[in-house]
Amino acid sequence: MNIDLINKIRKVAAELSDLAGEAERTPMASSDDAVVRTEQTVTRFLDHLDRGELDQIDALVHPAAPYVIPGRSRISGLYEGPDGVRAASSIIPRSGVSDLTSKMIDLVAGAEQVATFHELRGVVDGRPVQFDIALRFTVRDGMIHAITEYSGDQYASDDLFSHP
Amino acid sequence: VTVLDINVLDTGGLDKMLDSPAVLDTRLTPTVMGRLLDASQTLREVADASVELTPVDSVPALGAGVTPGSTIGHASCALLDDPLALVGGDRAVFNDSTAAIVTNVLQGSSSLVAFIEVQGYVHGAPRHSDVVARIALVDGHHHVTSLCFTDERLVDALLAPLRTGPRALETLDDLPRRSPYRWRPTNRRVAAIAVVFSVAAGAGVLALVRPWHGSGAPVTTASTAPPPTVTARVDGALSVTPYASFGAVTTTSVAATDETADTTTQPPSAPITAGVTPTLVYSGEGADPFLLSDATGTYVYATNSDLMNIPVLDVSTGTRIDALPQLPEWSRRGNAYGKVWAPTVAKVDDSYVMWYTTKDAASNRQCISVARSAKPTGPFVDTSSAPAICPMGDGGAIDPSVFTDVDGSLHLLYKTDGNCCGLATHIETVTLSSDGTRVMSSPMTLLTGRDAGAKVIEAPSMSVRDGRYHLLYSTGDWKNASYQTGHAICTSLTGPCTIDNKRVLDSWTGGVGAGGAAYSNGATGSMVVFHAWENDRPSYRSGGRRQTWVISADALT
Repeated sequence: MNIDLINKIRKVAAELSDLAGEAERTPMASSDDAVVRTEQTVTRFLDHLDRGELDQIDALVHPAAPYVIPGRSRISGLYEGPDGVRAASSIIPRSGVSDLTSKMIDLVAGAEQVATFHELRGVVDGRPVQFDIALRFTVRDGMIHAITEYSGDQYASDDLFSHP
Repeated sequence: VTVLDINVLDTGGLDKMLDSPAVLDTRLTPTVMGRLLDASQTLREVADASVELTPVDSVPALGAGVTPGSTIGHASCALLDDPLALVGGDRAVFNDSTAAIVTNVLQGSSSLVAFIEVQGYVHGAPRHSDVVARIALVDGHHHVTSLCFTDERLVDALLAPLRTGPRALETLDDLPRRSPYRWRPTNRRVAAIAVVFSVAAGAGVLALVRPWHGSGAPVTTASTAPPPTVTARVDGALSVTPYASFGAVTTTSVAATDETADTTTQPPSAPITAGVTPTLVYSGEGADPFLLSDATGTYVYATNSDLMNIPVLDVSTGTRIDALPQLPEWSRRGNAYGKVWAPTVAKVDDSYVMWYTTKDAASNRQCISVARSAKPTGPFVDTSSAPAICPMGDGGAIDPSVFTDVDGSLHLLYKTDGNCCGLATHIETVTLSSDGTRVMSSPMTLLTGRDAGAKVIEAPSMSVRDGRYHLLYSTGDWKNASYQTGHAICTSLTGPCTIDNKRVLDSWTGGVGAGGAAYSNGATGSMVVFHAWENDRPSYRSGGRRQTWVISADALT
């Protein structure tokens, strides 16, 4: 990935952080119902991803929602909206990874923010690779407005998604 | 059970770890703990269990915010009873150039999630990585069970100095460069991050520690050594004691590792003299400088760096501290880190007035505000509830510059920040109140980018010399050697102005891309202070920094 793209990603991520800042600082002020609705939006989205129902995510992801995947691999970058999610997903089969599995190990929701944690396992060049990732969702009015991915081992992640 | 000494001054413990690949990845924990907490800290790691911190008797190295007798570890985790108290709290300072702040917390039924922004400088350029920590309650104690990053390599680079004891550097330098200190070792052994948050009034400390996943030799540590002096590495400009509240921090220059290559810089301790060729004032990062000289001394202010909002260098003592430690609420809530720029200071009666640029959280624009102090080194206090100058239609405003006219009236020049959003840029001026803290007139445009034949015109500074109004400004790209300083003559302080030299100052043998020039003392001084990239490193990308220089004003007319 070239440096301009990286900078662009960081700029968008910073702007996103700014925009979300006020809401982030009062995550506990909302009702339980709002938390439940936010959580349901994210779980529906993840369920669709798990089942490969990528045509079902348009109702859940805002068209301008940034989707940031960190690192230096082929999948790293800034994507936008449902099409961006589909584009990122389409890269995985071409990244040389086999037997990729993702297991969600936790979900913690606030009124507008959801963090999910996943254990990723895959095989690269015959070697098993395993690491955690976290996803941070910003959700408003039942729509996902931003997704930021965090890598528990960026070195392994880059390795995993940089082949062949 | 393997026993390792975690005292950072005891290289025996470090050497044991470094010499043993089986425990190589464990050194982060004891080193970080040893640096951040205290040599009397006891750290216990149990195989296939979690890392735990036991209370310590005193934590003098953490400074005034944490009183002796405070406890760290289990007891401090009580803070998690109110995790939201962590959000937006004081920055946890790792060293002179790296800190962290909690930006958000989500509370789940059996775990909570803390979003942390690790901030720092690499070659003087502000960088950050978001970190998310999942903290689970296990056996009555909180433990970090996941730690993920948006830029793990950056965090590695920023915190690398924390992982080296002063006497262990030679050994560490011999290690492979790529990832000698992984947060997430491939063998799933412990990798830990200790994040010390000075919460609210600084009374609390939270330690986040990653669990031990793997099998193999556990590490139990015990140390009875006296508390060490914490030795921190300086990245970017050298500050002797930039974080006084963190007590016994001294600085040392260490060998370069990865991205954090650095050379030690020394501030001056003698009076500044300006000649017809530039004289180096400060060899660290010191952009958009302003020089104030009065009976109390000579002071050089600059754009934010080294985790200071407005660094001010006291030339007589060589100390460099944050003159503006607290931003106003309207800016602070927008996370203005890295957005505090271009200070200008005027002495009005017995107080000092600083105009500066910071981010307006509500509009996400750079705007101008004002703060006052009884001393030139601060702390300057900004009591405003909104920006003083923020023309939204023009993209905001930056680069304020105080100008004192021959009749003693105060004026402020600034740049409309149109290039933020595809608009034109102007140099404008307004009249200030007699105390220098309020804008009293509508803005008048002195120059535009089109006048200068440039996309961007900025960094104005005016002086009256020989009965004429001289205006300095900058054009080009501040990020590289194309930046330059131009000069115009104005028939009055509200214009019109005519450019007579578009490149009165740009590059010479000592530096390149000279800009951000300002007449000293708000026009009344005889010097011009400015910044320039290092000659052989003319950008942040090439590892350079914008050093502070001074030249005689006569040399530019």
